[in-house]
Formats: sequence, structure tokens, C-alpha cells
Amino acid sequence: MSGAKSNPSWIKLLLRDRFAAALFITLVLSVLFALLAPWISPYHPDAQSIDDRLLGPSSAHWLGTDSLGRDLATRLLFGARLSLSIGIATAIFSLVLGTITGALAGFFRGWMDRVITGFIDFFSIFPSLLLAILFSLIFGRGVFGIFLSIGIVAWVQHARLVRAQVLQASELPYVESARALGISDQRILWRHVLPNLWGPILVSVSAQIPSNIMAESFLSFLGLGLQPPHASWGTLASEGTRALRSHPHLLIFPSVALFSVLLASQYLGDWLRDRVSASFRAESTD
Amino acid sequence: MIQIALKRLAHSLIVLSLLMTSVFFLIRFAPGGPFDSERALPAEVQRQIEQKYGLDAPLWVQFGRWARASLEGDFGNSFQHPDRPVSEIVLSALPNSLSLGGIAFLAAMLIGIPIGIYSGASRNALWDRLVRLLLLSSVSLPGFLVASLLVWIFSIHLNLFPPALWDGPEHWILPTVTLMLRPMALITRLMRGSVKDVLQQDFIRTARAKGLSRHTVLWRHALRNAWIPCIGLLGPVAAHLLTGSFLVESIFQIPGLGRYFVSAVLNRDYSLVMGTTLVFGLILVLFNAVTEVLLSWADPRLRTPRRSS
Repeated sequence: MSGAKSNPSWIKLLLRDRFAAALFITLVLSVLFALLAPWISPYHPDAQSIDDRLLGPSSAHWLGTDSLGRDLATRLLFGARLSLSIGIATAIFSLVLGTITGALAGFFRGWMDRVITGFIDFFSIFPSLLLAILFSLIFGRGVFGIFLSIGIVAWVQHARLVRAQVLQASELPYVESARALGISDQRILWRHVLPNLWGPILVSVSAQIPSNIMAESFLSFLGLGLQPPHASWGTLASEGTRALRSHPHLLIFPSVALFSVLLASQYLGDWLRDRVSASFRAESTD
Repeated sequence: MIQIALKRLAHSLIVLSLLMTSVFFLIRFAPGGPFDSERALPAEVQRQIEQKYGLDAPLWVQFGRWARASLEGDFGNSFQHPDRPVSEIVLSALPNSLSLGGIAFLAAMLIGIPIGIYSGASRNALWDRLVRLLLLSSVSLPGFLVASLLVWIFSIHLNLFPPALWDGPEHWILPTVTLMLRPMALITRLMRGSVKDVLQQDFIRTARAKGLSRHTVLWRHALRNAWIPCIGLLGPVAAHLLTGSFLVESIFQIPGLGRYFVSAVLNRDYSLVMGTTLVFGLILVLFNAVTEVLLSWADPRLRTPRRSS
């Protein structure tokens, strides 16, 4: 319950750490840019112009143009939509699927646990990117296909965490007393155990956003990611690596965008984890 | 002990065969085939090619054939390079990948462990922040961008190192640096946390109270316990080196397993995909087994067999 009480102050806490605050603002800005892309971008993302190919930064094209004369700034704005939404959508997929399966496995044990831990073991031996490559062959190179390929390997990690947490929590006295009161298992799990674990669950899911954005750029670079005309930051950056020698701006700007958002979300994820584990420690010593 | 080892071996074999089975069917269900080209081949020609490579049989039959042949050590010929057996390609690529991965692994340990120990033990807030920031930055840039930026700076502008290939020590630097960053960040992070944790424990306070110097306590008492969790990192580090090698070998044009795997996947070279995946699987399963043995050797508390719950 102390979680609810400390809620209003978390933003104050965040602003006290100047570095964290700067990163938080970066993240908010990029989400805003992504949302508002169609309205604030000066050009159409696919508008080609043969006369304006491979220009450096100028007042007409702030970040220059690519090999088809498309405005890079506009493409980055629209790329933010794809990269961020893949990162967030896969995290939500993990949240739903991983929490449910992990909770069932940890709470009810038995055959369900054996099946789910079997999955977890298998996925933990083989690198998720290796498996994501193989899944992406089947699901194709559309937005939905990439989302599925990354989501399918990512949810397992979250399921493992939830399972461990629920397993531990189900041994606690309050679960026993709830049972003694005759409350049904389902109700104990969904209404009592899980709500108590919101902290670790939130931390684990938020940590997946940067790594899933990274996974998308990895697939794009290998030529297994989004297909044109879709362009995520990963696609733009990997196009940039090919023009490295002659037109470095095509590499630098997408890299900066990718780097700052990844740095911000990683740092804030860590920040959140420190706060949550601190508040959990405080609660357990009460 | 023998019983545990046998059980472990059986487990590894099951996991490995699961991997091979799922990869076989995943890549077969994927659209496209090894003989796709820009222009569609006449149906007759297409059928003859498929017949020649046994691709016209039902999938289950093909899988059975592959499994039987590979148990006898015959992995077939590559589809992309029809005159080269898969085993020959894999054996020629393996040394390159192993040396790349090995150097990166050693470098990551040699740099990551001292930084981790130092930043875990030091009470200097500025240094601590700096290390944290470095760690975060190194995991916030995708590997292919690290590689491209390194090439841009060190090959194109400074002309210090060659931008590609794997012909001698000067070729090793950039790929190794790219590949080692992420494992190094993992190692440093864990070592740092582990040292911090151990230093807060009671036996350290006792040792300090006894009058031992900070230095002695750190090296003789703390580190003995602090390095144990790092063994658990072997698996994740191997995984990072492996997927990192897909990128690094493709970017720097190193003829290693990772590059063959990526091009085989893109070209639907079924037999080569299976061959390279088998080697990856073997390496990972081996790493996992070694980790378990090392852990039980380093931490006697894990040695007594746990009762299964």
C-alpha cells in the first residue's frame, strides 16, 4: 500500500536527479515526436526528389536527404513511430502472456509448471536473437511479423521472473491465511498475490522495451527486418552503414536517435528497478 | 557424481535434438526456397531440381533422412555452393569464429573484471557514476552501429586498421572490440554488484574489525566469494558472442560460422543452416554443462544434490 502513497512523489524524485530528468525528457519528447509525426514533419516520408539526393544538412532539410532524395528528419520522425511501437507492443505482449503463464506455473505447479519451465529452459539455452531470426523467416517482414518474432522469444524471460516471484510469494503467510478463510485459489492468485508483485513485474517489462527495440534493429540490419517502404530507426541506421564512406550523416543521425532513446530507457529502467527494490525491501522489513 | 553427469548429458542431448527438429521445420515452413531466382524456372526444371535434392518427398521423410545421415556424420552438400559439403564449410569457418570469439571473450574478462572489482570496492561517487554511464552506453548502441562508427573513425579517417577481413593481427582489433563490448558490460556489471554485496556482509565487517586492511579483506576474503556469481554469466556471454558474431562477421566480412549462418538463412540453404545451427547448439549446450560443473566446484553449497521439490 505504501506504493500508492509514494506515487505522487516519484516525479519529484526523478527531477531531483538531473541526469535522469534529462533522459526522461528525451524519452517523452521522442514519444511526442512519434505521436505527432504526421503533423510536425515538413515533408512526406516517402516523397522522393531526384534533384535533392544525398544532400547534407541544410535549412530546407535539417538532417539532409537520403539516396532517393527523401528528407531524413521526416523519416526519423516516422521511424520513431515504428521503433517505439514495436518496443512497446512487444513489452505489452510479454506483460500479458508472460504474467499469466508465469503466474499459473508458479502458483499451481504440476503439469502446467513442467510445460512452461520446459519452454523457459529451452529458450534460455539458445540466444533469443538466434531464435528470433528463425521465427522472422516464418512470420515475414511486415510490422506484425517482426512484432511476433521478437515477442515470442521475449515473453519467456518475463514468464520466468513472474514464476519465480509467484512461487516465492505463494509460500507467504498471507496466502495461507487466505486459504484458511476459504478464498478460492484463482481469487488468491489474481486478487492478492499478483497485485503485490506489481513492482518486479513493471521493472521486468520496462527493461524489455530497449532490448526489443535493439532486436528489431538487429533483424533489420541482417536484412530480416521491416521491408520498405516501412522504415524504423534500425532500417534507417542500417541503410546509413552502407553510405558510411561518402555520406556519414545518413549513419550519424539515426544512430544518435537510437542511442539516446536506448540510453534513456535503459537508465530509467535501472532507476525504476533501484526504487522498486528499495521500496520492497522497506516493506518487507516493516 | 557420474549419475549427475549422465543425467546432464541426457538433458543436453534432448535439448539439442529439440533445437535441431524445430529449426528443421521452421526453415522449411518459411516461404521461399533454395532455388528461387528472379525469373521463375519452368515447372519441369524446378521439379527435376527438387527431385535431385530430395525436396519432393514429404517433410517427415526428409527429416528422417537428414537425421539418419547426420548421425552418420553426413550433413549433405550446401545448396548455395553445390560442390562443397556442409561439414567442410563448417570446419573451415570454425577456427575463424573460435579465434574471434575467444579473443573477444578474453579481452572482455581482462578488462571487465578489474573495472568491476575496482568500481565495486571504491567509494568514489564520481568514478562509480562514470562506470555506470560507460556500461549503459555500451549496451545502448546496437553492435552494427558500433562497428560502423569504429570503421568510420579508425579505418576511413585515421587509416589505422583495415575495415574488413581476417588476415592478421591488425585485422583483429576492430571486430574484437565490437564483439567484446556487450559481454564486457555484462561482466563488469555483475562483478561490481557482487563485490558491493559481499563487502556488506558480516564476515567482512568481522575481518575489518580484526584489524585487517581494506586491501587484504578485499583480495583475500571478499573476492573469493564475489567471483562465484560470475560463473553463471558464461552462458549469457556465450550467447552474446554468438549472436554478436552474426553481425561482426557480416560487417567485417570474416569467413566464420556466423556469416555463413546469416547468408544460409537468407538464401534458404537448408543443409548449411542445419549444419551451422548444430555447431551453435553444441557450443551452447557445452557452455551450459561447463557452467554447472564449475558452479558446483566453486561453491560447495551447491554440491550436495538438492531434493527435488
